[in-house]
Amino acid sequence: MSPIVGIDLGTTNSLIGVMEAGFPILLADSAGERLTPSVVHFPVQGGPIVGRTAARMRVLEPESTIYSVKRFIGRRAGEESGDVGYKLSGQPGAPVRIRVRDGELAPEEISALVLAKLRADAERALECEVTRAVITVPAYFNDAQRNATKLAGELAGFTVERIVNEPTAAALAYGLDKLRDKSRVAVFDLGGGTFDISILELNQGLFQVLSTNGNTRLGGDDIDTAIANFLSGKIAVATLCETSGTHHLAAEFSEASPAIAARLREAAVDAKHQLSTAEFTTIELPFLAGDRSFSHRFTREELEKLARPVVERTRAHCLRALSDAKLRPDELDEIILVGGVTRMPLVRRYVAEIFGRVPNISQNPDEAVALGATIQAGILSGAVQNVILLDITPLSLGIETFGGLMNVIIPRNSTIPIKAGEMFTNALAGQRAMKISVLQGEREMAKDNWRLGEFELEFEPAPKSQARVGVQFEIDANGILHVLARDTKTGIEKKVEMSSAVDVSDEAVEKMLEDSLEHAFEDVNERIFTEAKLKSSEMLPAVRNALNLVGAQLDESERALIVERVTEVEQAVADGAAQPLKRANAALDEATQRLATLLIERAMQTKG
Amino acid sequence: MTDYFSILDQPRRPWLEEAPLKESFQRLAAIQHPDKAGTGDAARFAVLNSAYSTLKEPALRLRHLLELESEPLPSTAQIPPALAQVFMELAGARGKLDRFLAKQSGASSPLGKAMVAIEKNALQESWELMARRIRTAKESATERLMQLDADWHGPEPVRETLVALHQEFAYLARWETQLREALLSLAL
Repeated sequence: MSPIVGIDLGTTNSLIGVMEAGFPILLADSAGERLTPSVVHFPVQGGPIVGRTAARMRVLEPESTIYSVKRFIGRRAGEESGDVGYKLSGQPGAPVRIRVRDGELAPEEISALVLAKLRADAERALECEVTRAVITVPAYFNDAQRNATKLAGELAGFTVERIVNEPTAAALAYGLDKLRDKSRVAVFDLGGGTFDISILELNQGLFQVLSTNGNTRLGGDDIDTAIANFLSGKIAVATLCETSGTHHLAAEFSEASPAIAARLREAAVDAKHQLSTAEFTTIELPFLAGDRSFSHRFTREELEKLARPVVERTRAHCLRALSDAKLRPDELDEIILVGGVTRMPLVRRYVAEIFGRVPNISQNPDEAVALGATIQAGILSGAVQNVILLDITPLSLGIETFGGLMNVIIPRNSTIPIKAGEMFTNALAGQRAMKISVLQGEREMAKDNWRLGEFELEFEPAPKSQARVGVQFEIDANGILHVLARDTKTGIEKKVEMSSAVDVSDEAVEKMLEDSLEHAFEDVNERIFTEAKLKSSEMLPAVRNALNLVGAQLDESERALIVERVTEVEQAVADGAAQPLKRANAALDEATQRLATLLIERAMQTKG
Repeated sequence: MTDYFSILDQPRRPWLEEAPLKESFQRLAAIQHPDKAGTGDAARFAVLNSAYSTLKEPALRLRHLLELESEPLPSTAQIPPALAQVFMELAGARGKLDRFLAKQSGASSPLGKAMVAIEKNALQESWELMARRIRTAKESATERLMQLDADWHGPEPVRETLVALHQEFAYLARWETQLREALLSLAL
């Protein structure tokens, strides 16, 4: 059976891990990198490119290079500002779509390509098929965003065993070696696009989340935007100061030139990273427009002035999480920092200010969430014993009542999985149906909350208030809602299908699956074979060459063995079988060891 | 109707100590949580979950106890006399807070903001006083609840006291939420 991998599907970067001998380890791609940029580039010809190579295309071809797509997953058009280098589409109120070249893609399809790349990397590293995954989401993701993430996983060929909250995962990574302890911790998770604060109680292997709060539109991206805007302001001023008619420069880097905007953003990100350790850095943008160059000495003080308003927005969420957990800051034992942005000294100081204590930076800000997802995968597979995670739902779930109010059925911060029932009766004699709007959020008025969807209850014909249907609202361990309706008279129970703005029809899903299968991945065997063949094509000429040079120094039997092994490899290539070819390669490796030694000796002699 | 007391291995009584109740929940959760291979069960865990969130809140616990004793709850909306005073004070304080928050969001000039800040300090103090009032009221109710618990299997009928205490705790729970929200809005 396939191992279960843990995946951190981040706004900026993604990672994948697996349990090995009781420990979570992260898997590297063929270039040896564990961090995969969550970027997908669509070239004019050929299939999509994912990761580091794609990230490099951001400046060159911003409109066909999709980054930070997590901001749009499970969202409706008009909800999220389209402040990105690529184009969005979709009717207001309908799911956001992303324009790529001549076509349109759903955000989950883009995420699926990132997940498929991680899956391929894991299959290469583990040398087996990988079809089961735990995927993380920001704790403050709503039902639609969780469903969309799950769909992305399915499109990438995974059975999604669990959707787990990022800060909770980070707490698992922090607490795995402290299972005997009893403590209360807060996880402050400021990532590229989202912010979460979760408060947990750790008690002998039981991780109980007490409260969570956050903002799915707050993160490092906002700091980058602030820096980029600051830089474009500087450039505009510099341009206006010159008398030679170059006024057009200021306008050029805005909407008119996505390429310049992308370069400014790239410079902003680099500078931000450098200023986590350096006190100042020089931003150089040669030939920004035509022959115009730009250079600015950027100090940490300047950066902090720009970043502070963004960072300060975390405070209200922290206070609310504490208030919901009914705790004072001094009742916490540790504040754990995760997410790349927590590398900024400003963030560390600010967190210390909010909680009145120096935060714990023992966790790798980029890797803790992926390690935690891997541990949760281990819990599910049985590889990790004596650890149980009691997570919660971040948002209150309710229905719209008469007068447009929200009636809470499952309050926020309830432990999941959870069920709650509600009884509905007919308001009029003979009424056959009733429309029910399901909401998620904390506002009193229904219209101010997120509308998950609607469903229709059917009544048997009966006098007023006599027909009764019980509805069960269930939030599963993924934080995803299921609704069941039960006619109290007939006892018939049925799953209620909700019509939602972010629903994708089954047909569409299948089409997406087919499309993605077509160009995103081949059979795992085929991939192993391709790689093995690559190795043989490199080895065979090398062996021939070496035999010519130093073959005379070998025994007759040694030479015969090598020739035999070469034939085996050639045969395996011709057969096209993956595993035999891998074995043949290994055998040839083994047989040519002395040949290699001789070759090195010869090289040393010629040199001397 | 499901007996939440038995689900959590607790005696069916009005008073439960917090620590053993929590311990019991965590012990059972570690067995019944759906992630636990072999013994886990999502439906069973959901019931355990409801049981714990009911029993840990005195108002919900007393309501559940009354329902288990198969007596329909009277739907009186009257403020229990013991809380009448607190209720009046709270209503006044909430009105003041709402007016203040409206003023705060409207203040844009430095002078206006300074005035708001001064008023905020005074309000914070009055709400902390309010917090103490509610805490005292809860302590008093808890004391009577423990007394009732002591008399639980005694010869005297206790139902009326139970109903009254349920009312009291229900109001107190709602006010505690309002109080937390108020203090939070003043801290932001």
